[in-house]
Amino acid sequence: MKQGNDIHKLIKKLHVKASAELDRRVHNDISRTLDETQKIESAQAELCIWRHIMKGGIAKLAVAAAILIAFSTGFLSGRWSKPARPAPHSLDVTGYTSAVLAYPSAPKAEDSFWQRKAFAAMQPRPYAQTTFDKTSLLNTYKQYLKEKHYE
Amino acid sequence: MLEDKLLIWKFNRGDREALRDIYEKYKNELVTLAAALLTDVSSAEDVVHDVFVSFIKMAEKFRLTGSLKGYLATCVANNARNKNKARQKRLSYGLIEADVASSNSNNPDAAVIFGEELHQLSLAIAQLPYEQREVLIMYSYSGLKFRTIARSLGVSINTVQGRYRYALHKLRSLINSEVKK
Repeated sequence: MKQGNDIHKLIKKLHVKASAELDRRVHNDISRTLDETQKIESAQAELCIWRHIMKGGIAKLAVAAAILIAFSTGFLSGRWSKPARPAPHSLDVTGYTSAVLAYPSAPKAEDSFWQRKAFAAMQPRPYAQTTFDKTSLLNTYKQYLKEKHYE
Repeated sequence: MLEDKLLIWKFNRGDREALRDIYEKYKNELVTLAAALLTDVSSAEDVVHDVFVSFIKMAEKFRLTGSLKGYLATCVANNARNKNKARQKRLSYGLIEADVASSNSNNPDAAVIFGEELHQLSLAIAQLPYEQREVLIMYSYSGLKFRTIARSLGVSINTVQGRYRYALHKLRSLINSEVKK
């Protein structure tokens, strides 16, 4: 056991000094690696900033609110906003415009579905005249008499 | 221990000089450890260099749980083991003739590594099988516990203790035989 302790002590005495060449190599490597790390860090800085911002709950909420506002604004202006009233150049245009305005959700394009619908509504419907009952006939006759009386 | 933690903390905070301080603090101990394991100073320096390069690369993620000295010593021992295996492999294939001399246990270079004062001891250490030498040096020189060495080597603690006993016994007999001569 004593010899074992002696061997321990002898082993503890072992010493080798690192050479200047090793010092130079390691220090160069430290400098080079740290420079590379710094370059990579600077390149990733912008991404990191964005990540840092987006990690916050308030930032997420703000972005979500902005998206929602933009979407709703676009949706309202596109679907439910009233189109600008064009200047009436003729009687036909006025009639046409009023017909279009009867459908508030009608898009602005001239060949749209709603405009075609409006024109169709303005067309005379001969079959409707054949379905008069007694009351409507009487009313029509009264109306005819009134108009004739005013004339 | 506290100084080590402070050095690691400074390095993680971006202080470059902390890494140089770590190297300066432990370089001689690590080179001695590697030289005792490999019985070759130039290979030992290569090992220490490789260990520090690896340490630099992963130091930002490094979190010190034990002692920094123990960690670096284990790294050096692992690296030295790999180097020794590679050397043995090259020798077995007969690729490198020059390494035959350095692998020889009676290599005179091994004796002069640690100076004339420890001539007998260094000669005896060089004659030990690598596994026994590794355990002996890691336990006696680096002060690592048997449990840590066993975990590092991937063997049981009893195996490590057995290797240590054999190494001590053989070292003792070698030194005594040298003295008798």
